[in-house]
Amino acid sequence: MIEVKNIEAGYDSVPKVSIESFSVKKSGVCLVRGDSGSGKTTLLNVVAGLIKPIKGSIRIGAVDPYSLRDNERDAWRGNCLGFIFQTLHLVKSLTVAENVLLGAYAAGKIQDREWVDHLLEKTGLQGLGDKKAHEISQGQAQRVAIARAAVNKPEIILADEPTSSLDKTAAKQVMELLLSLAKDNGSTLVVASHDDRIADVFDQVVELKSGENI
Amino acid sequence: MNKRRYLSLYSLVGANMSHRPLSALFNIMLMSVGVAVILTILHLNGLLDSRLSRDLRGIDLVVSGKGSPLQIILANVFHLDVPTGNIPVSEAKKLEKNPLVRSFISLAYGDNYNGHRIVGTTSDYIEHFNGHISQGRNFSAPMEVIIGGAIAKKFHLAIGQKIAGAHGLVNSDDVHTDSPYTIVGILDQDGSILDRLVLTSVESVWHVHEHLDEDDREEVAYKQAHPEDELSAILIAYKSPLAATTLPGIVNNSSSMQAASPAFEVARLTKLMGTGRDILSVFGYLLLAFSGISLFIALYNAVQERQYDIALMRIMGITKSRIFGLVLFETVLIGGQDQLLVLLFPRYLYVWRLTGSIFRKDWLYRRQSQAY
Repeated sequence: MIEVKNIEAGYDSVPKVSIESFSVKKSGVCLVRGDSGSGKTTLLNVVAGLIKPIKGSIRIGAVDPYSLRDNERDAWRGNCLGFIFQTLHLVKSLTVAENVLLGAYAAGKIQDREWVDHLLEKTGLQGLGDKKAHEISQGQAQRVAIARAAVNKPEIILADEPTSSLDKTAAKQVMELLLSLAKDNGSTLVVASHDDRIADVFDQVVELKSGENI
Repeated sequence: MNKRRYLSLYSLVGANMSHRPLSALFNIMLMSVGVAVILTILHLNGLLDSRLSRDLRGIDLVVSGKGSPLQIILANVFHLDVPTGNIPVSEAKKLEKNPLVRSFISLAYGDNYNGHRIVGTTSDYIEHFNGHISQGRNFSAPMEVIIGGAIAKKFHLAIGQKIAGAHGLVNSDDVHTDSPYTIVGILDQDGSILDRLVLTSVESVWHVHEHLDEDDREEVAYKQAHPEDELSAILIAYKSPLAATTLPGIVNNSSSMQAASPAFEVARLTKLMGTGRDILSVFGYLLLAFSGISLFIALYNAVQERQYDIALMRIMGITKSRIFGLVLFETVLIGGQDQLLVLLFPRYLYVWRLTGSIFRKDWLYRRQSQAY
């Protein structure tokens, strides 16, 4: 469960997003929607324990990530969160399978190749595990990023604009994949997006407008 | 379930280095060259010092014809220069009987075998340098020679073979074919001065030169002015430290002899060479410093280039210390490979070639001889 209360967050103490309160239940699927610059990514970063809010509080389950020490927060993030970035950020020097395994390595977890192969198969990347990350297409890279976010079976998956560069069909497939993986692992899914095409699949929508929670 | 560790510190660094092979190779090469230059200079310095001290050991004074003391040392101890002149045997005998002299080794030379000096001396000379006969025996009869191991190897010479000396100290066509030497022994190659010499008795050297070339006016005139047998130099060891203050004066006051103290002259030579060595050292350290800076910049750029990868790993839970370990390990790996190259490349190839060109090819000696 994610619980956000009266948060103001931004960079260099300048508020970029201000949210009164909202919560997402365990295994829920939530869309954070808003125009470019409305603070969607900032909000995801706050939830991920990356940007300490200027004021307000946040709890992920029983944990306030900002009450943890740096190392503890790193470990918590590795264990409990899966993050899909807008620009994907695959490591070019690694293979597809290694990019997925990187999530387990970073969190200090067992590197289970069979589980990775299962994820690759589920994301339609079977047979591509040994290809270098720079050798695959953008669509395939998108699915690698999704598999990587799910590799540790995290409590929460955060996805930043996962469909922004995709056509309608591909966007639908990606969303189905995300929902399916979240459901399989019992993960809470929070997606930040301005893409109206995907809004109907979420059971909760948080609207951001000019940096404010409406 | 397959739970092997697919990713590790090593595989991540390896993947990164193999992803940018040219950059990694360039860094390794750059550091290698810097360290190699420093090591080469240090190695050469050490080699030169040890060679000088070994060749000078036990020689307190060198006496030869009037001339430059440094040239006397270079010509008669290291056999790298032409002699300053000869000294009459009668004067040498007087010096031998001086109570301040503990040991006395005569040297007489004027010919060469393919650029290697044929030195007339006694067995004391071989004993002085701890020479060990690997094949055959020492010379005992006239026109018998014992040769250095390096010469035997270079010219594939064996016991019983005859060799003829050429007039002068560099290769020439004026070969004494009528007075060949017989090889009776070969010395062990031990890195000493003996490696490069052909040794025989003083009498053999005199014998080769006793027949005058009547067409050579200079030689005839010299022989008429110096009818007595002559030596090229004498190597002396003092009986007591007191000799160091008196014997050189006695020698220098004689009409035709000049004394040179190896310790003093070599100190002077080392000082002269020291400037060159210092410049080389500074150059080496500068190169090393630039290599270090370059490596730092390269690693900094690599970190900049991978800032998204690093940020990604941080977000996924890798601690700062593990990231630091990752970058540090890559640096150490480059440094380690560079050390490996340094060990393999310069020590056994580069240094060997350099020392070979200086000590085996006698380029200094040839240049001096040609100039003379």
